[in-house]
Amino acid sequence: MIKKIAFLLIWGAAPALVFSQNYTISGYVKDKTTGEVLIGANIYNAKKENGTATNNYGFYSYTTDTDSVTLVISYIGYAVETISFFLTENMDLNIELSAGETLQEIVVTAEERLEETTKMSRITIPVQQIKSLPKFLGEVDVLKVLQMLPGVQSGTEGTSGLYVRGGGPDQNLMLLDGVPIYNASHLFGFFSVFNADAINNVELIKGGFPARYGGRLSSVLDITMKEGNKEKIKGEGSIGLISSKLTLDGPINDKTTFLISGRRTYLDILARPFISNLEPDEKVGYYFYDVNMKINHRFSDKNRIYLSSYFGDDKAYAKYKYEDEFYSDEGEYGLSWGNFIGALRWNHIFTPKLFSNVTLTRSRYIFDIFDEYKEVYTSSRNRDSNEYSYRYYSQIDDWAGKIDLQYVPSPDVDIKTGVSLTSHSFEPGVLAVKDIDIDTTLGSKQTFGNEFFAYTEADIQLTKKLKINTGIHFSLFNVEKINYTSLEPRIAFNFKLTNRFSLKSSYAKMTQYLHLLTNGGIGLPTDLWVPATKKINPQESHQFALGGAKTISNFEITVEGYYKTMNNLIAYKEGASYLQLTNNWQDKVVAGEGESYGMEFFVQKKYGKWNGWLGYTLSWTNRQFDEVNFGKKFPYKYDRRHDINVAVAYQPRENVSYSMNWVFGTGNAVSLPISEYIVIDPNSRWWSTRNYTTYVEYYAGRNQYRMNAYHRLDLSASWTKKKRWGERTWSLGAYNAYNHKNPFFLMFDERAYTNPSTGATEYKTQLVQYSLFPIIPSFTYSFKF
Amino acid sequence: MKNISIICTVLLILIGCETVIPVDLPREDPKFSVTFIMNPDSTFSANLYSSSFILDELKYDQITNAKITVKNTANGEIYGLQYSQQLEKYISTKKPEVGEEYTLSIEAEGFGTATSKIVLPSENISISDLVYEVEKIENDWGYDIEHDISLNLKDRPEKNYYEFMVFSKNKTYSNDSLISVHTREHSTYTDDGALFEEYADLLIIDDELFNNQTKKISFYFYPSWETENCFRASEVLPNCDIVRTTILNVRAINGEYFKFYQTLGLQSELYYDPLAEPVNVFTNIENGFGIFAGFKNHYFQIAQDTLEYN
Repeated sequence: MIKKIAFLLIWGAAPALVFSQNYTISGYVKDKTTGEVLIGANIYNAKKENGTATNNYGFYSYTTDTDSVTLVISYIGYAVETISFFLTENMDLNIELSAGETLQEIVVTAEERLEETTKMSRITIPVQQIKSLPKFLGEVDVLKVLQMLPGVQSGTEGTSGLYVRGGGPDQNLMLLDGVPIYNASHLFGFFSVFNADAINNVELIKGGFPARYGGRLSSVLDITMKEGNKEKIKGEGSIGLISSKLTLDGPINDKTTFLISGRRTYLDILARPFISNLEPDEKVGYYFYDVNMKINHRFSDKNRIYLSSYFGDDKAYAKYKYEDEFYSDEGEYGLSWGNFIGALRWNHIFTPKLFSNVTLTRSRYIFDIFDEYKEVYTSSRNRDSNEYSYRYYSQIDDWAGKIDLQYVPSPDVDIKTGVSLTSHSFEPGVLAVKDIDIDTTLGSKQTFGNEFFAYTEADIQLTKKLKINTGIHFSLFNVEKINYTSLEPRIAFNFKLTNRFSLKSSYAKMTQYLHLLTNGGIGLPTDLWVPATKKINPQESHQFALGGAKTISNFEITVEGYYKTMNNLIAYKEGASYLQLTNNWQDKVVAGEGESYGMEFFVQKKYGKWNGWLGYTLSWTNRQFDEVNFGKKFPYKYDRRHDINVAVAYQPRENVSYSMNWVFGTGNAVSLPISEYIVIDPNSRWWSTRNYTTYVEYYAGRNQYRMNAYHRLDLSASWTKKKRWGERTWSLGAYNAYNHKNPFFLMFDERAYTNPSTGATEYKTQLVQYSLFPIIPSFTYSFKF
Repeated sequence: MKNISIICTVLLILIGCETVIPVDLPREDPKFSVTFIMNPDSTFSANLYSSSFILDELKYDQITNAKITVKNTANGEIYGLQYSQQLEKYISTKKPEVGEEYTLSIEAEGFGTATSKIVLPSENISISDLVYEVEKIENDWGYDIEHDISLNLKDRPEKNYYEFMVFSKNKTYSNDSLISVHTREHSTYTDDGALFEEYADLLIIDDELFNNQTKKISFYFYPSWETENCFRASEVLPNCDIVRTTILNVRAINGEYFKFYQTLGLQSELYYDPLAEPVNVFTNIENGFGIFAGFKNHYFQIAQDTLEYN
C-alpha cells in the first residue's frame, strides 16, 4: 500500500512540473565527421545548472523557462561545444561534436556525470577502448571485454558467456539494435557474434533496471550498431590469425546512409594440415561467418527509419566418400548453429517534447546436428541404393512489435512509456529420421508463446539533491492456454551528498519466461531454449543495490553492494541430458532457487593517453534444488569470491599504442570425491555364488572444492601508419603472456611418481589438472580507407 | 555420437597441457560400506567393506570381524548375522517380516558404530490388462525375437516405488523324466526413459508422474531356451523337451532402494565425462556408506511354452 501511495504522489507531482515550462530545444547530437549519433551525450544549461542527455537514438529534448540560454554539449572523447542564444520559441537544434584528440586530456569530458544520474549498476565502455585492449587470437570480442567488469564473471576459460551477479548465461538480455540475440557465441563460445567494427555503443546494466527493460533476470546488454557515415564511402577491415573482416559504410544519397560488415574464419583451412589421419576423400572442417547490415533513411527532421540485420552461422562438419566398381557411399555429418535478426525501426518526433520509436523485429536461433548417408550397390544385373538422414535440431523463432514513447516536459522530468508484443515459437529438440522405410520425427513438440509487456517509467528530479527513477513493468506470457502475469516495480534513488559525491540505491523485480537447458553450464550451442509451461514456472528475481558514485578528474569511481534472490531456476536432473530424445524436456528438469550477494568496486578512465579501469568484486553465489545434492544448498559453479580485473591502454603517440589486461579470480567451485567404497552391484543376481561389486566415489557435497586461482596477463601493441590510400595498423599480442597453467578441469588419475625412499617409479592416485590455453601469440593487420 | 566427438576433437586440439597438482583434501577415516537388502522371502544377508580415502589405494578386502545386528522395533527381537567364509558375506537363518521396522547396527574396531533404520514394504500390488506378446524385429543383422510386456499398474495415494523383473523357470525333460530345473532372470529394457530409471538392467520407477492413478507400463526382454541343458557331456539327451514358465516379478521397493540404485546408475553413467556435474550415490547409513533397504515380491505367471529340442 505504501508503495502505491508513493507511486501516486510521485505521478501526481509530475503535472505541476510540466505546466511550469515554456520553450523546448530538441534535436540530435552526432559525430561531426561520421554523422553517427552519440548516445548519452550531455546537454547542460550553464545558466540554469540543469540539463538532459541524448537517448538511445541520439535524440534529446530540453525545456527551459529562461530566454537567455548557454548550452554546453559534451560527450566523452569529444571536444566540448558551447552554444549561447536567445530563446523565444521552440527550437530544433541538431548538434555536431568533433572527436577530440585523445592525446589532449583537455578535450576529454564526461557524459552525464555519475553523481547526477539515477543510473546505477550500469557501465558503458567506448568501442574505441574495447578495440584498444588485448585480443584473444587477434579477434576483438566485446563480451570478453565485458567479462572484465566487476559483477561479471566469465565461465569456462576462453568462452564468451556472461555470468552477471550470480546469474546464468541465459539471464542476460542481449540486444543488438533492440533485438534479442539468443546465442551470442561462435566457435563453441570462444568468440562472440558481435563484430566491433559494426558497433556504435555498448551498455551493460547489472541491476537497478529501468522499467523499459524486462524478460531476463540478471543483465541487459544493449548494443547499438553504427548507422553509416554521411560524408563518403569508407572502409575498414582486418586480417587476423583465424578470421578476416571488412566493413564498408557511407552515404547512398544525402538522406540515406548504409553500413555492411562481414567476417569469416579460415580455421578449417588452417587446421587441415594438422588433421593428418584422414583418408583422401575425407574432409573435416569448421568455420563461422557473420554479416551486419544497416540502412538509415531520413525522410525529414521528424521522421527517419532504420533497417538493420545480423545473420551468422557456425558449422563443424566431416565429409567422406568411397567408390569402387561395385559399391559407393558418401555422407556428411556435423553440427551447425546460427542467429538471424532483423529490425525495422521508425523514429518520429511528434512534438519537441514527445519522441516515439516503433520497432518490428525478428530473431531466430537454430542449431542442427545432422548425419546424412547414401550408398549405392552396382552389379551386372541391377543397381540398388540406400539413403539415410538423421537430424536433431532445436530452434527459437520470435516475431515482435514494440512502441516506445519518450516525453520530456521539463529538465526535471523525463517520462518513458511503451508496449511490446512478442510471438515465440519453440522447437526444443526434434529428431527427424529418414531411412528406406522410416520417415519420422521424435522429441519435443513445437510450442508457441506470446509475451506482452507494457511499461511506464519516469526520471524525476524531486529536490535539488534527490533524483529518482521509478516505474512499473507489467508482463503477460501466454503458453499452453495458461497465462502468467507479473507486475514488476522498479525504483532507483540518487541522493547527492556533495557536489561530486552521491549515494544511490535501487530495487528491481524481474521475471523471465524463457529457460535455457544447459549441460554442465559451459555454454554449448546445443543448449536448448524452452518456455515456461504449465509445469515449469517463469524465473523471478528481486535485486537490491546500494552504492556511491564519485568523479575525480577523469576517473569515475563507483562502489556498490547488492543482494539478489532468484526463484524457479531450472537445471537438468542429475544425470539427465539433452540427448535423451525419448523424454520430453519437462521430465528432465528440476526447479530450484539461487542467491547472490556481494560488493563491487570500479574505477574507470575512459579516454586520454592512459585509460582503462580497475575492477574488484567480492561475491557469494549459491543454488538450491530439492533434487540435487540431496536438497542442500551448494555454491554455484561460477561462485567467485574474489575477482580482480585491470585493463590499461597507453597511447604515447598518435601512431603507437600499448595495452594490457590482468585478470585474477578465485578458482571455480568443483565437486571432488574424497572417499571411495565398494557396494554389491545388482548384477550379482546373475551369479549366485559370487559377490559382484562396483566402485562408488563419495563427494562431500556439490562444488565444495575450489580449483586453483585463475590469473592471466594479456599484452598487445599496435603501430599505425598513414598511407596514400588511408592507414594501416599492425597489432601484436600475447594471450596468457606468462604462460600460467590455469585450471580447466580436474580429475583423479593413476600417475607415475618416484618413491623418495626407494627411488623406484611407482603409481598412485593423484589429482591432475588439465589446462586449456598456454601462451598464445597473435597478430592482426588492419586497415582503414 | 559422432558429432559430439567433433566437439571433443576441437577441444582436445586446443587443450594445452595437464599438470599433477597437490590437493589439500580433508583426510577421511575409513567407514563401513554395507549392502544389506532384505525381503520376506529370503534370510538376512549383508556384505561389508571398508571405504578408503580417495588418494589411498582402494582395498577390496571385506571386513569379516564386525558385529552386525538387526532389531525388529515392534517386538524388540534382535537378530545377529555371522560371517560366512564360503559365501563371503554375513548371513542369518531368520527372515524379515513385511511391514516391520528394522534397525541395523554394525560395530567393528576402528570403525565405530554405523546404524540405519527402514520399514520393509508391505504394499500389495494391483495390476490389470497384462499383455504378453512375442514380436519379430528385423535389424541389420537379421532379426531379434522381442518379448513385450504391457500392463496397467494401479498406484496408491502414498509415495510408491516399483521394480519390474522377468524370469523363466526352465524344466528340462528327457524321455518325460525331469532332468533339471533352472531359473534364469532376464535383462529387461524399456523405451520409456521418462518413467524408468535403468541401471544394470534394473527397471525401477517411482510414482511421481502417476500418483494414485493407473499407469500403463511397457517393457521387453529377450529370453533364451537354454538348450545347453539338453546336453550331457556333449551328448544330446534323447527326446529332450524344455518347458519354460515365464514369470513377471513386480516388487514393491522402498524409497531407499530406489534412490540408491538411481544414483548409483547416474554416477556410473557420468564417470567418464569430466565436464558433467558428478552425482553422489544415496546412502542411508549413519556413519557409513551403502544401503539398508527392502522389497516385497509379487509374482504373475505370464506364459508357459515348450520346446521339443529333438
